[in-house]
Amino acid sequence: MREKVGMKVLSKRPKPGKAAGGCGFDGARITLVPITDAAHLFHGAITCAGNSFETRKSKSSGPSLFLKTFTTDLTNEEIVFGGIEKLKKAIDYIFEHYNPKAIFVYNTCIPAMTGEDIFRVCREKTVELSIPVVPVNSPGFIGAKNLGTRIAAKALFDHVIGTKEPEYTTPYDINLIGEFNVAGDLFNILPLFKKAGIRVLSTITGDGKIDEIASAHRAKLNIVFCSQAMINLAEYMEETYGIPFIQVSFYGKTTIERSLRKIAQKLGDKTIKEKVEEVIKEKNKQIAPEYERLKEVLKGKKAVLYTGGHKSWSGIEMLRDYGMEAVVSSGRKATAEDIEKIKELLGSDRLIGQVPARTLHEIVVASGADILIAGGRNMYPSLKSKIPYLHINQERFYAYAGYEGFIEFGRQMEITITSPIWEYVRKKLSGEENGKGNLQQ
Amino acid sequence: MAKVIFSNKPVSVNPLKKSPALGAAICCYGIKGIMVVVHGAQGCSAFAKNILIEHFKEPVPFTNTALGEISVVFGEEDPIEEAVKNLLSSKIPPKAIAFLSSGMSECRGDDIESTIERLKKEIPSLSCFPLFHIPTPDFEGGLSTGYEAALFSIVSNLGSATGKRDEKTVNLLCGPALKPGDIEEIKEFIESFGLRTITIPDLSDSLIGKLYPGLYYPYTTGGITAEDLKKVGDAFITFAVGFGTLRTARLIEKRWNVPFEFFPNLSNYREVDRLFQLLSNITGCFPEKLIERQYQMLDALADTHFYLNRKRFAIAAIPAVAYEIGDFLASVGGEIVAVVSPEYDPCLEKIKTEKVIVGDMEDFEHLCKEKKPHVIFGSSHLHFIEEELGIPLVRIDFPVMDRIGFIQKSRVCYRGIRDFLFEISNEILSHYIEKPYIVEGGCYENSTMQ
Repeated sequence: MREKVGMKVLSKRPKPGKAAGGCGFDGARITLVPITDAAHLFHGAITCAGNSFETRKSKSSGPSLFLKTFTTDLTNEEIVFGGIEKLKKAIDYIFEHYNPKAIFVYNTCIPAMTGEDIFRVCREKTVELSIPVVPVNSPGFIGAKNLGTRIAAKALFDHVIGTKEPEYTTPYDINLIGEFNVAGDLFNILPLFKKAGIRVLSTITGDGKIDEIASAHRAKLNIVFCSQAMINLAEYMEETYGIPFIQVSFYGKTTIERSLRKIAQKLGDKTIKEKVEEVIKEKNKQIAPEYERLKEVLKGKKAVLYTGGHKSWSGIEMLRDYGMEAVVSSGRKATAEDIEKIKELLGSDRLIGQVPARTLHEIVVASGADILIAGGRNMYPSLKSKIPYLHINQERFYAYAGYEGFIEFGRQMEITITSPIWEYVRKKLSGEENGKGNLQQ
Repeated sequence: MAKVIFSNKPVSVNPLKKSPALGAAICCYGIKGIMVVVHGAQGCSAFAKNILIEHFKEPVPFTNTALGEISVVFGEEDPIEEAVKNLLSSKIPPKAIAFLSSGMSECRGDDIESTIERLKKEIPSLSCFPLFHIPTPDFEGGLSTGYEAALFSIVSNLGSATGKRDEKTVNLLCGPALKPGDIEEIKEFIESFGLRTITIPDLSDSLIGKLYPGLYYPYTTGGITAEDLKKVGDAFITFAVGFGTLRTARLIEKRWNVPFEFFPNLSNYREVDRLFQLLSNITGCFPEKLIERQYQMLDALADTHFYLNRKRFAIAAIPAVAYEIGDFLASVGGEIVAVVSPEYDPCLEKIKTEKVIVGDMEDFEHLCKEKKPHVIFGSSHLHFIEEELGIPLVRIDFPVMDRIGFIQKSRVCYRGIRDFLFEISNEILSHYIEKPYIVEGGCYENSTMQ
């Protein structure tokens, strides 16, 4: 038996002065804001909503309300005398002017410290307005981003899931959990299921819609994408509604195919299995010309992979699909299972944890890698070190999931690795040998 | 001139406001080798860091004390002390450290100031180290408030004088409206007269990206040094450029007896002339290069007056930027039909328009629908108004994430004004002037240029 994750998180408290990740509120926000037809109201001072505005690139297939940021923007006086009345009025204002399907109310550090009872307000407003007004108790100080995603999942389970019945059900109803539709990843995944005759009952939360999520409890299977965020939701749904879940990834050809077959296997139907094989065949044929061309370009190139969670191993496979080698990968924010997979693929000596950017660059240079694949915060530092770079996390502009995304990933690697500027730039600056020079500031 | 009205909604819809800590961090980046630390939870710096990187297209040093539940409730080992020790024991330690407060630490009543004092006494190597505090609670004001507080704190904590008046050196205080490119332009302008500047903050040196040999350096690679800050009191004059600089200019005057001259807006040609005149009087120079640029600007004023005079403009920006843009547009005959600012500052009252709203993007959208401006001015966030209403957006203020080279550009002094005139005129040209040759139905009734 697999041990339940629940609210347990992996990250230790980061070192003051060296901390770089997001907070609990950040985790809750990125988990729920992709729900497109809900309003997201941040209760607190300006930092939480103002500074995070438009920093996430989750896409929608229609509704746009989630793009609006609502905040009570508490000021000094309101903190002293209490912000609860303002919060009530804010909820009313949103209800009246924006007609949301639900309102998520995120608690942040200051009101959490002064002990404002947002739960009561949400309970009252849910009854009064007849829409879910969901309290998300996610002050940043509770811990890292990871914990915030679990709190968000719990809020969704407690207040939304199971509140509506689907119009009809099929034996092939699934939920997608932990896929946030960054850069439109989901739009490359959904057509695969459709072609295979699998019905996606709800997407939690990428391109999510409240009514669909409310009826998610009638699915036959839960598909969990991210190994960290929202895994607890799949556990709660298994306990309460008896819905089994499996973990998959849709990054890279090999991984996509393994995942599709795993889902078909679990749904246990011959026709589904056959259809899945057809889809795989068709898609392979479709991408073949560009895939072959890219393989020629990328074959033998080396990469350092600095990401987190399931991408730290699916990334290795994705690179191998192109004939490339992952020389180092990171096991940050990864579960014990993820880490086992990385070790299986790479060996334990090529696994690194959280390191400062500069150390990372030293690793890239020492390993002779052609490219660094990492999160957005690493982009400009990497360019300063004259290292070809590719976005892998939420800041990217392109979808990398599914077959089309896999090809896009190859193209983006090609763009940075083959750029003619690198040779010139490095030569110009080679007064000191590249990589050994030290900025004496 | 303008009446300032506070938007009285219980909720901010698409806030224009950014946090004071973010503004303070920008100002600190004008110091060389600095690390900025927010005393708060991880998100207190993480969100700001993301958006700063996207705006400046540069790495920025920004971290926090990772205040957690245990430290919030029980108050454990001093996280500030821990942060200082962690930073100084790094393989590459910073050359300066700024501590910002957060809403949470201010609510807790943490006294950063006295912790720093204590550390300076306890750790001998810290006694002369540029380690200082800037109060930036996020429930008071916004980006400009934080920037102004940082500027004041930098000069107040790190500024000093050797006692020898330097007749060749001027202080240049830069307000929150100035981008790195603007600061570069003003510095060059002053230096054309054979003078040296102590520029605070010198964002032109630190945030206009440069590639160097070797690997990435985790702090600011440029900016004013702590050494140069010790000569602030030696300068013979301070030029305070833009709103947000006055309090600091007065401090320099009071503490070291350096007089100051205030320039609210160097995007206004009359103000640039005044700066030129002043510098000529002081030095007796008439730099040919600048006179050449002045002629070019005069030519641009003539070339572009067709497109700008009597046009309607709307502005959404922090007070100093709103004032700057409004004053500039008025100087070429533009009509300011709507102004929304996220924070209050008395300079809003000086904008040549009927009323200014302290509010959010929703307020601005409503005003734009009503007043139908030809061009709107604001940050990248306003792209949705540009898309929905079909009104071109000229990107100003913070953040501009969807353009490359924005922070390098300038809209001050003769050359900056010339280029800015072109930029706005081009928006007018491409949206309103170049009509298609095929007019559906042969009727101009629905023409957009009204």
